[in-house]
Amino acid sequence: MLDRDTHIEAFSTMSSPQAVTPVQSCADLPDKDCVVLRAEAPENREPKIVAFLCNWCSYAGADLAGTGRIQYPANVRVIRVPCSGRVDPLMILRCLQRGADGVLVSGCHPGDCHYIAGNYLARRKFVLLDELLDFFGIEKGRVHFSWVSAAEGEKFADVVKQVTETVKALGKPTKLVR
Amino acid sequence: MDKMTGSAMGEDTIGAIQEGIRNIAAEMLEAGEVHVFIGYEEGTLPLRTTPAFLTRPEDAVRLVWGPSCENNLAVYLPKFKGTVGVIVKGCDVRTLVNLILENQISRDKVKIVGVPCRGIIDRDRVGKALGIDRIIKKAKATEHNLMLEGDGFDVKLEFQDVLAPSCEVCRYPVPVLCDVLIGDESMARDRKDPEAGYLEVEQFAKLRPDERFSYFAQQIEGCIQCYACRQACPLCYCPECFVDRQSPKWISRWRGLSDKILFHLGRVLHVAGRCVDCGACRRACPAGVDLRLLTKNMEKVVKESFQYESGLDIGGLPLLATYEREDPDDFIL
Ligand code: SF4
Ligand code: SF4
Ligand code: FES
Repeated sequence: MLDRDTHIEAFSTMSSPQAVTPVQSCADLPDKDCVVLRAEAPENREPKIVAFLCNWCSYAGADLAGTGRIQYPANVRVIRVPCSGRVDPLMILRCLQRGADGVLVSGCHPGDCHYIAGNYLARRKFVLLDELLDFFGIEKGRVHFSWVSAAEGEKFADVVKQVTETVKALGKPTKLVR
Repeated sequence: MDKMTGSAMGEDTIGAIQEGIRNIAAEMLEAGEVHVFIGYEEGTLPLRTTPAFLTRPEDAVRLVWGPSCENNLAVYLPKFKGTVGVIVKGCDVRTLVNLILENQISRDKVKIVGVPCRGIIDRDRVGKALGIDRIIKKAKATEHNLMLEGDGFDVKLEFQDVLAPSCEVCRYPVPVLCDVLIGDESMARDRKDPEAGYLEVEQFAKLRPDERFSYFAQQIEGCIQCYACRQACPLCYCPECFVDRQSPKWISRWRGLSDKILFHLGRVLHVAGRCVDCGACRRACPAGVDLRLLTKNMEKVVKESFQYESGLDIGGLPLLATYEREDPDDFIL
């Protein structure tokens, strides 16, 4: 088995700037469940944004944006979750730690959650996380939250544009990356 | 050796409280009301007390009270099956309230003996006031002073100067919930307004983000990941903590700063809306890591965003188990 760091090294030199395959599951690495986000082009650096999308709304919203051929930046890597309430703040921190430039969590509008209150409960956790990161001195604008319904393909595209711009402006993350 | 306990203080409040504690402990054990009584007894060094677990009424004389009774004894409660009597200060009882609220202990299985608290000492501050490499051989507390003796020194410190930072701004020195209150409320310190407690946090928040980050990074750099802070906190009772999980392995012990930061951010998030600023985590740390600003700021955020204060009421629901439609959402796109 390859040593973890060598593996990541090898992986990042392999990827060309255009064909970045930043999300690679590393099943044969010690940390089975980790996702490697290290592939990196020195110039023309495009930020990588992990988007946790709720299966019932935002994921379908993203799908609609796709089928509707609405253009949005290709910087997001989507992870489908059953509900925004499933997103543990630790998952967000972990993304930032493993080199994601930004994280977006998107769920159903208040009142529309498939599990009735998942997004309301998530909202409380996000308030805490948001304030904690800010106080800790992590740039505001690395972590974003949105409500996007299954009918809002346009909105999804807009959110992604906005998030990508904000994250791009922040430059390369240094603070949490391990 | 004369250690700092109530017995050294003659007839005053602290001595009276100590008597009260011994009596009530003996009574409860005698009557079979409790299987175990948890209090403080003299430690092996001056300025130190250690938790005492009593099962026989005649042992009650071992119990002591004084400003070095710093441990939060609520931490032991979820481990006992029978009925337990426990001594609590104002902050300790609020963690106990949270344990009841979160169904970790049942109200009828615990006899709460409250003490009107005058504050406890901070050993770091004592060390600073005294200068390092001075070994205390004898300590004695009176109402307003702390007398310390050792080889070649004999100093009298103002109690105010060595008070723990959490106590300085304590809002609930009188236990909010108890079966028996030793003495009366007038024996406790004065209540402070919440604003007083947040001054430091507000001051710190004015620094630039980079400065804030480097302050925390510097603190966390010293962490040796012993997890004593977690062990000391009554609210960290999960049978399997996220730091111990192997799959997913959230935290590793050989990855350095980034993983340590993740641990501390995770810990602060897990006690957010529950932490009562009892200071047990900070006191437990062998490496002197002080992240009280983080937990204190969380407390402030929770108060401002959700009008919620932790550990005051055994009814209702914990902060993160419920919601309001009107919760803040201006940060959501
Ligand atoms: S007690 Fe101190 S050294 Fe141990 S894990 Fe907590 S902060 Fe780190
Ligand atoms: S986090 Fe620290 S200050 Fe807060 S309740 Fe736990 S031990 Fe006490
Ligand atoms: S199902 Fe979409 S947020 Fe809960």
